[in-house]
Amino acid sequence: MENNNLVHEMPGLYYWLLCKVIPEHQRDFALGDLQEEFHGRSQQNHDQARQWIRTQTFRAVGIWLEMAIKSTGLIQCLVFGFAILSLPIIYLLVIWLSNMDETSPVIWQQLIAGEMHKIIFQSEFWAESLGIPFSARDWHMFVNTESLLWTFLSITLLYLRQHRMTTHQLALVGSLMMFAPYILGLLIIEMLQPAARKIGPLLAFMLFCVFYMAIPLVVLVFRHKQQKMDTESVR
Amino acid sequence: MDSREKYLGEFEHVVLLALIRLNDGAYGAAIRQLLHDQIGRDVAIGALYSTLERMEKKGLVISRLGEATAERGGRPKRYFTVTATGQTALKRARNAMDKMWQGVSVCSVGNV
Repeated sequence: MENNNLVHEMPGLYYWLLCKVIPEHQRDFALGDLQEEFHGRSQQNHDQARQWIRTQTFRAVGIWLEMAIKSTGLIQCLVFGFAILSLPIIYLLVIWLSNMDETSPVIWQQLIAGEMHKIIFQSEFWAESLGIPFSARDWHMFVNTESLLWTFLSITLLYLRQHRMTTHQLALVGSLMMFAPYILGLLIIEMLQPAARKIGPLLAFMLFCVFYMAIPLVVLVFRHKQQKMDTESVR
Repeated sequence: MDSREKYLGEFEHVVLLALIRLNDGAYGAAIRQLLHDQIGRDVAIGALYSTLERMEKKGLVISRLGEATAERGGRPKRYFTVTATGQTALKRARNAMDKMWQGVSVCSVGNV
């Protein structure tokens, strides 16, 4: 027999998710309302109540995502999307470059021209890079001191200057700093035409700056936006 | 009056009417329940609070804290009441709708 005095708590995972996505200033009342409704429904049918709270949680997550996309704007979304896409691609480029003995003439020409953005559209690249065994993938391949230094300096500078910028400006300036080594590398190769063996370190710098900066930049931009939203809601 | 305050959105309109119907008992869960029972609209709690807070900023509603119960996990209720400005906005919206409906028959809508 159902004990009507027992308070039915909503499942922990949904509670945790709802706490994350409902804005702080609404959280207490909204969670209270959901808990009250969940309790009422659980007394009738616990399974349906669980299904109901799951739906409510997904809808809350949907609203949160929609608000995040609207409030962060196009540039921020592009930065986020680029970061998500670039990391696995650069990962594959690095292991491919580290293990490559020979490749097609077309890819080789693009490689010595530093045009990594063209290489990723070649089917041979994907076939070769995805075929590299895991035993040939060493984390040492992903350490590049110059790029780490560039990333550290760029992120520090952005962090220190962020209060003087809007989120849009921060995302824009951050993206420019992330891509500057790549663009600079392309220009150097184009103008100086260095020997093939000298291009390797330059390519590494071009790629790793993007690889290292993507995640810290996304975090910085989204935290900046969150701080701005919190400040505005307090006003 | 500011021009953006002159017109209510459809959802704002419905929520204001719900608050008046619920009188002193208008808080999140009760409003959601009423909207579901009366017009079959299942509103996400986040969307409801966003609308209520927007209307509070416009001065259409005011809120006050209510009691916390065990069923709510010890969390307080937030009761909403329609202000005089809100009532004026509702009347204006109804007048506008009444005027626009004059001479319009639903059967003839497709022929207009």
